[in-house]
Amino acid sequence: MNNGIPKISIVTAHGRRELTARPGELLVDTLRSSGVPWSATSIYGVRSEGGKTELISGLGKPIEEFSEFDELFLYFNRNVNPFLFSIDGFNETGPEKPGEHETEFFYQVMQNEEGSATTTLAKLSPDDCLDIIAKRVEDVVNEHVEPNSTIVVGVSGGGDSNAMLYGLSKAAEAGLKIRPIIVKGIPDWDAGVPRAQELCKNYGLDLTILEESDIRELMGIPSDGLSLVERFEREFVGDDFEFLGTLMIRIALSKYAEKIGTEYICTGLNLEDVVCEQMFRMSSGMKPAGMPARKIGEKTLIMPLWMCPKRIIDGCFPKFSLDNYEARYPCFSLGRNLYYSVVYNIQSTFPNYIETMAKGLSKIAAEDPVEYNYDAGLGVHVERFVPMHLRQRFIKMLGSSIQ
Amino acid sequence: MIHTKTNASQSSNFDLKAKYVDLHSHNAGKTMTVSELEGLRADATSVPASKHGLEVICGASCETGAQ
Repeated sequence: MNNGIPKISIVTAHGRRELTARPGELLVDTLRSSGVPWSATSIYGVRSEGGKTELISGLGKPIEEFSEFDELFLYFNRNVNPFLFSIDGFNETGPEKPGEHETEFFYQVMQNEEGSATTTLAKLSPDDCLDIIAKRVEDVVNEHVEPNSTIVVGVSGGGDSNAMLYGLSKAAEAGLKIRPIIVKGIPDWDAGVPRAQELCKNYGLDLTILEESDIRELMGIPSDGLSLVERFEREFVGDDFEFLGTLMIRIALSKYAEKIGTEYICTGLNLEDVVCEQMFRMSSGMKPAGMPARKIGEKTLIMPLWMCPKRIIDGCFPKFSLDNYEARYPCFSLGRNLYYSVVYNIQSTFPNYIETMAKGLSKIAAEDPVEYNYDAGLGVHVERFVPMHLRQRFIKMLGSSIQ
Repeated sequence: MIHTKTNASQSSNFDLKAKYVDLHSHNAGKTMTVSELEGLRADATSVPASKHGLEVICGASCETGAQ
């Protein structure tokens, strides 16, 4: 007992450890700040030294409410060591190429023989980040794109596009031909056009701009003054435009790829994006979808950044990143919030584990690919049955005029 | 199910729960470079469930050893 706060110990099969509790905090917060999952513990209290051990409750109680106890024992209900992968006590390394505006990234290396994990906080200069992105992009291009092919690349003008174009431009030195394209139609996208033009100019690439009228034509949307966002929000209240936006970009890239006679299209899906998608799929009883290459109809969607964490992508061009964050619009879909939150929490608690997950899921997907069939009524490739009411609402959203 | 451990080493480990110990995995050896770490991250090989990969033989009931 110390100032009315009992001594708190976590008891595991590997040994005990005293936890530090701050006055006023809840017991669950003490666990959280110590890196102990609350769901794996049972609470026992001892009122005086040598006294009886009592099973008690109180995860949601302030520490002071346990003042009648001399000591609390939080028994860990599994025989694993909850601190084995803790990122406390990390080494530091880098940067390899000194530069301003370093970003940081935790790496964790497993040593199965020793039964240990080594954590390192790497400091990465923009040049280090660019080298990493270029190498990861090169890996994907070498393995999944036929030599000397042409690839249609969706760009937005933000930091992600910039990093991806940098990586692809390195692959272009080995023969890959890049056709960047930007889609207009919503204010955020339109605002990115001057930056995308500048980027492409820097990489010596010709940017194709697809106007809103082109998108409307591709998707059969009337040109009646009602914006794409307004159409979406009117029919699908409280949902996120990202879902329709993603489809619009893929349709635009596919049509352009068809026009120039290539099968490859690509977007800037990063590590967290691809794992988030697979989290949703697994939770919904669906097999993993292909990554970093996915056959959709006649086209193959390439994901050059699938092994690139967003933090390292943002580290390539730090000045672009702030603009990107400032331009963020809130996402309200519960599911999208859930799956991204799960992914970021796993990644932050177990650095580099989601990479392993992504690789494993990619292997399963390659062995048993998802088949996407063209739905003539909707004009898109789909994997599963589209319920009639959703089909009707989607068609209504695309085709309805101002009331 | 409760097991009675008879092996001397297991027996001493059995008593660990009563002792205050440092539970963190300590970082030993030389610090790796960014390139080395990045190579290992991108390689992303999975860790076997059992140290010696025994799940290949014993895994049909549970690959991660739950009874």
